[in-house]
This record gives sequence, structure tokens and C-alpha cells, in this order.
Amino acid sequence: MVELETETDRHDGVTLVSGVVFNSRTTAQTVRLESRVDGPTWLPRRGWTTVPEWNGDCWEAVVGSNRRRGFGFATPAEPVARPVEIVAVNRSTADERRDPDAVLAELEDHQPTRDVARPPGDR
Amino acid sequence: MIVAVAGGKGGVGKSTVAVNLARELEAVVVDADLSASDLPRCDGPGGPGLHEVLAGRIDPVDAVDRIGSIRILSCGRTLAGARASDLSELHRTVRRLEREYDRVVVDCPAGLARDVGIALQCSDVAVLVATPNRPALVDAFRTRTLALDLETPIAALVLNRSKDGTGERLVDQVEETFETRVTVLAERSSIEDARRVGRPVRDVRPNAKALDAFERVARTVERCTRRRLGSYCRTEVSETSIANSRPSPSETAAGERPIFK
Repeated sequence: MVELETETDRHDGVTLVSGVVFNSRTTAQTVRLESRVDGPTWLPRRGWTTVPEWNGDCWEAVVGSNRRRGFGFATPAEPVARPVEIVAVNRSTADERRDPDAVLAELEDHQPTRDVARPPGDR
Repeated sequence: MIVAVAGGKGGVGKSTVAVNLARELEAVVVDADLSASDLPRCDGPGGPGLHEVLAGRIDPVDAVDRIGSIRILSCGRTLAGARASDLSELHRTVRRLEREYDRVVVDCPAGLARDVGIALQCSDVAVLVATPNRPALVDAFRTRTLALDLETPIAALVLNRSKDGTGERLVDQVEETFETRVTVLAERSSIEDARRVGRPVRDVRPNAKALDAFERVARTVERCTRRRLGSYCRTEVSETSIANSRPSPSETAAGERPIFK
């Protein structure tokens, strides 16, 4: 099952919409969401480029098995009860994100600093 | 709520931010630096701390000290203690403290080794600390990348020890690069006075200007974690994705680029 949780916050005439998609299925899924707010979708940006998951009013990304993925956008429109809806879910063979446990396993073991490795009298 | 204070580079003020953030959040602060701990201890170097907790010798709650207005789970600086510590117990330790005290701030070690990774992974959000110079910001950016790989969102970045407006001048660029809110902490005597006696600024100089910045970071952290409570407490995108939302150029008047914060 693919679940969606959203929140809206209105500040200074702008509605901020944020949410999380959770995929509890055993396979990665390509999830497509669409904004349901009655107004333009202002997309998150990195520099002058909008984040690649967004295209117009739609957001699409691969969500791994038992993984969650966040998204957000802004709009001048008033908040609505369901600002975003899932419009398509398809099984995906690509899950480009690494598992956090694998990331952790790749890190170097921590080493005591020279200070602590040296006898107290030598510091 | 578990908040990691991290930054990659040593000496940028992580412990100072951790202690003061813990004071503002009324949280217990955990010194997770197993070999170069920096937080004060009330019973001298011999008392039980995180080493003993991670070695399974004492319950985390029993090892918490109260120093002034804040609670601290400190850590020793001995090689034997660091060696005896089982880092995989950190997750259970901070969750135990969260159940007891509700809010926990984890003061992470410097570097990007597994000890930092574990501290980041067991936190709900991270606050990055850097000084306004390139080496510190590069290290902070690497820490950001690691945190996001571990699915811990970044709640805020503190540009510490800003002198003569160096931090203020970098805010826009750092916010854009890190995709998070930046708070500038100017170099002030109140912070140094408090650090020297091992206390939060609010306890030593209750009217200090620096408190505004710590308060601001605390409120940002609260907002960020409120969004992630419940089953969705961790995700790779924090509220930064919306904080950085801006109208596209075609939707704004020429030259206007409002940022919604």
C-alpha cells in the first residue's frame, strides 16, 4: 500500500504544503502525485532549477519498499483539505536511493583522537 | 524529539549550540563524542557517563546529571571507556532518554565516521553548525549529505562566530546551497562567558542578545519535528523543500524573488 500524509501552513498570504509518501509494499513503486489546490504550484528550487521530481502540478518519484519520501511546494491559494492526491502507482525496478543501513556500514570506524590515545601525563 | 547537533569540522561550536539549544528546548543533552567530549561534568571525570551506559553498566537515566538548569549525559575522555562503548547501543540510549525527558539533544563528534552516522541516524532532525568560512562549510555540507542519506532531515544551520557581518553576508548563499534555514550567531562575550563556566547563556546572561538566535533555532526545530511526528518522523526532505519554494520567474514581477520563511 502507498500512503500519503500532507500538512498545510499559511504564512503571509502563502500556503506551504508538505507531505510524505510511504510505500509499505514489498517492491519499489513509482508514485505520481498531483496538486489539488486551486492556484499555481510554486515549486521547490535548487539554485535556479526546480527539483527534478516536479513537473507542473505533478510530482513523480520512486519510493523504495518500506521507505518514505518527502515533498513540498508553495502556493498563494488557500489551504484545502486534500492539497495533494495520488494519481498513479506503478511497480518500479529502479530505486536509486541507498538503504540507510548500507550507508552506515560504509562509514569508517571512529578512532579516538590523539589526545585520548596518549597517557594523561603526556598531554 | 531527538535533535542531533553536527557539523563535521571540530571547534566550530557544536557543543555550545547543543547546550544552549537544550536549554531553550528544555531537553537533556547527550555528549556523544566518545573520545573528545566537551560538555561539562558535575562530578568530575570519574563519574558514570555515556561510556558506562554504552558498555551496559548503567541505565541512561541514572547517568544523567543536572548542571544548573540543564540535564546532561556527559561522556568520559578515556581510551578504555571509548573502547568499551558499544555504539550500537546509542539508539536505544537516546530513545530511553526521550521516553523519560521527552526532548533530547545529541552533541555529535567531529568528522564523518560511523559514530557520527549512528548519532545522526538515531535522531529525528539535525542542526548543522559551521563557522562562516569555506573549510567549515564544506565539512558541514558533507555532514548534510550524510544526514540526508540516513534519512534524517536538516532543521537548521547555525553560522557561528560571525565577526563583522561575515555570517550575515553568507546567509543567502548558504540557505540556497544547504536548502535550510540559517541563523547567524555573532561572536559575543556572553557566549564565551557562559561556555567558560559550562552553562547555557540564559543562565549566565539572561538578557544577552545571543539568546534571540538560540531561541530562533529552537522554534525552527520544534516546527520541523512537529511536521514529522507520528509514523513519518523521518524523511529525506525536511521543511526546507517548502521553505525554499519560490514562485518561478514567470509568476513574479521582474527582479522579485520572494523567499517564504
